Amino acid sequence: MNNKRNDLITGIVLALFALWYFYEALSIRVFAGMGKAVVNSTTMPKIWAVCLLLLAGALILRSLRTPAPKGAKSGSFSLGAWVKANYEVFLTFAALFIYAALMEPLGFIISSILYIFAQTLILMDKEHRSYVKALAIAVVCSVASYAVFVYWLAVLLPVGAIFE
Amino acid sequence: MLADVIPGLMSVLTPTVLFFIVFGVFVGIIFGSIPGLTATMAIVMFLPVTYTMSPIEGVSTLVALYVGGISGGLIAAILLNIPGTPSSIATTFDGAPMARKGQAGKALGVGVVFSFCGTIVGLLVLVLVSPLLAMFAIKFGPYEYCTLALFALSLVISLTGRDLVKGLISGLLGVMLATVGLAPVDSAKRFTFGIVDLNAGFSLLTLLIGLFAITEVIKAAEDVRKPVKAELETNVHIKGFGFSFAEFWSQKLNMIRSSAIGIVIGILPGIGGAISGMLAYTAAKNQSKHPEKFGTGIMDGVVASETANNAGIGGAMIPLLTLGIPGDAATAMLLGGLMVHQIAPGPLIFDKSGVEVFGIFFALAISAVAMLVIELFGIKIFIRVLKVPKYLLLPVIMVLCVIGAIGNANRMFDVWSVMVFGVMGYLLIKAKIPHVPMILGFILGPIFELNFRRAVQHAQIDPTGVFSHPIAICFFAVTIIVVILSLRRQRKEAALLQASEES
Repeated sequence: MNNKRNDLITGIVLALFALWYFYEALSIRVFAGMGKAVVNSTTMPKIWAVCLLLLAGALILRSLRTPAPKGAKSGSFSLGAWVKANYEVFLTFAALFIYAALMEPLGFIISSILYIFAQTLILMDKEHRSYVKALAIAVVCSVASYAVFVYWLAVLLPVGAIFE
Repeated sequence: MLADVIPGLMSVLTPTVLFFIVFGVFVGIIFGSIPGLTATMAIVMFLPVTYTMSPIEGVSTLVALYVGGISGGLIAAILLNIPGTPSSIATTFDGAPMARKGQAGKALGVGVVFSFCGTIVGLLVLVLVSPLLAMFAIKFGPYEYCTLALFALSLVISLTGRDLVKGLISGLLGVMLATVGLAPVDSAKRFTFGIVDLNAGFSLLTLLIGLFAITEVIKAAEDVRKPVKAELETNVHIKGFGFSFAEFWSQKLNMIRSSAIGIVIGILPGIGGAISGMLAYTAAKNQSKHPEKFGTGIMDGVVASETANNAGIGGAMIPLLTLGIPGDAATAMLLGGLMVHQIAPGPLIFDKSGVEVFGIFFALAISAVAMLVIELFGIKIFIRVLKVPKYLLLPVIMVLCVIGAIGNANRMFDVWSVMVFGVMGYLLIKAKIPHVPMILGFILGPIFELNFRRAVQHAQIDPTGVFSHPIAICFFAVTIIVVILSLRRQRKEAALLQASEES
């Protein structure tokens, strides 16, 4: 994606966010006891929203003014192509979110084993891919960190709903 | 205040604290030396380890990680020609050519010794300046804090990155994220959407993990199919320090100049070690009698970069301790660490936590010594660590970061926040919006708003009161100057860029 289109999309997204943020700021319930205070809890959010809107506008304007780089492809963006080119990135995000989702039901140890195993395989290049190595690291590190943090450092980690 | 010096020293001189310092420096150097792992990540990862420690144990460990993390970058810079942390970018300019000439041992020795010197000079300035600044800052009221926050924000935004608009956007997004939760002054619920967990707002820790740890895993994922071209120089022999006393003495001016640059850049928020190393390198080159030799592998370049980035540690801790304003992501993390251990940074820190503050000073000094010894004698270990592939390290680090997020407040909500901030961090990278202003905005926004509201309340009662606050007026004037100057610089750069594109 070239800079021009990148900035344009960023600007539009930020402008929409700023508008939504401003709209939400209107519905903040102000503490009545504040009396005649000029500045209340909605003032700063509104100011921030306006500032962001202006900056987003500047970004949009700037991207419209810059001439498209010579020889740049103006082909349309397709999600499928992006996922294909970056499937490791996509898989990593998927692994992270699944990890967070499994943490409470399965507990820290099992979810961490699954996550480390999956993430290691995602990051290993084809030549070095070894399931045994990934699994060994996953098990050892998950169990060891649980033991260290829960028994030694007294940090509470999810045990897992299925074990309760 | 001086009565706290001896108890401070004694609090550090216990076997446990000394062990944690050595351990912290060692781990810090590992994080610093591996490209992609930074001092910030080391502190994030080990923050939960310190939760159950005593304040002095915990904070000493974090400080040790910071010192080790900043210094460790030189190992990869010299042996791999890749900066281990952004702060050692300028070390690669002469460090790597030295290694190619067969002087890897000397380059490492020079880097380590001058890192040590930089840390100590920075520490001395910290010890001398912070009590004075605290005494000065104790007079600060809402007007002063409000304008100080504004000044710090303007500096951050104008000095990080080239793109003023995107820097501002990043800072604003940070400020806006910080508005989630209960408002200052009257505790009105803002942007909580009825979700109880949002009442407390987002924690700084989750934002840092999302922006700096997850994005690192994602970057590694992006590079899986890209071939890596990095040759590790393993032929390293260090005798003594690797260089003679005469050579050391010949660098004294360079060292003083670079320390000064490092300290000043460290004090100013938002600039950080990367720039200070570069600036010191450029200054050393410009003032050298033989500027043409820079880049070919002379020790002057390594000295400048490594002295400056380590001197920045002491510099960055001055506003952190006395004003509660961190200079970069690593010190932002240290701020989190101080809060966990109930040491409130601010002008009263010497009165309320005097022993701990002096403990921190001594911990810094001991960390510097530990760094010198560990790096000189343990270099073989770090060379081995550099050979450990990232795909084995990053998943485990990620899990430890998640533990940090859970342990912060014992809630799963923080884990989800980390994941969402990770996605946001990735999108920001794609949009070329820098991360650091966001962190500073997140910290400074609430300080600004709280004091702005208080100041307005004061002004409602006494509209002319603002004129009896010369410090505040000063901060405000400087803020305006900074903004105007950076706008002009931006224009110039944009014009230059356009000219170069047209030609």
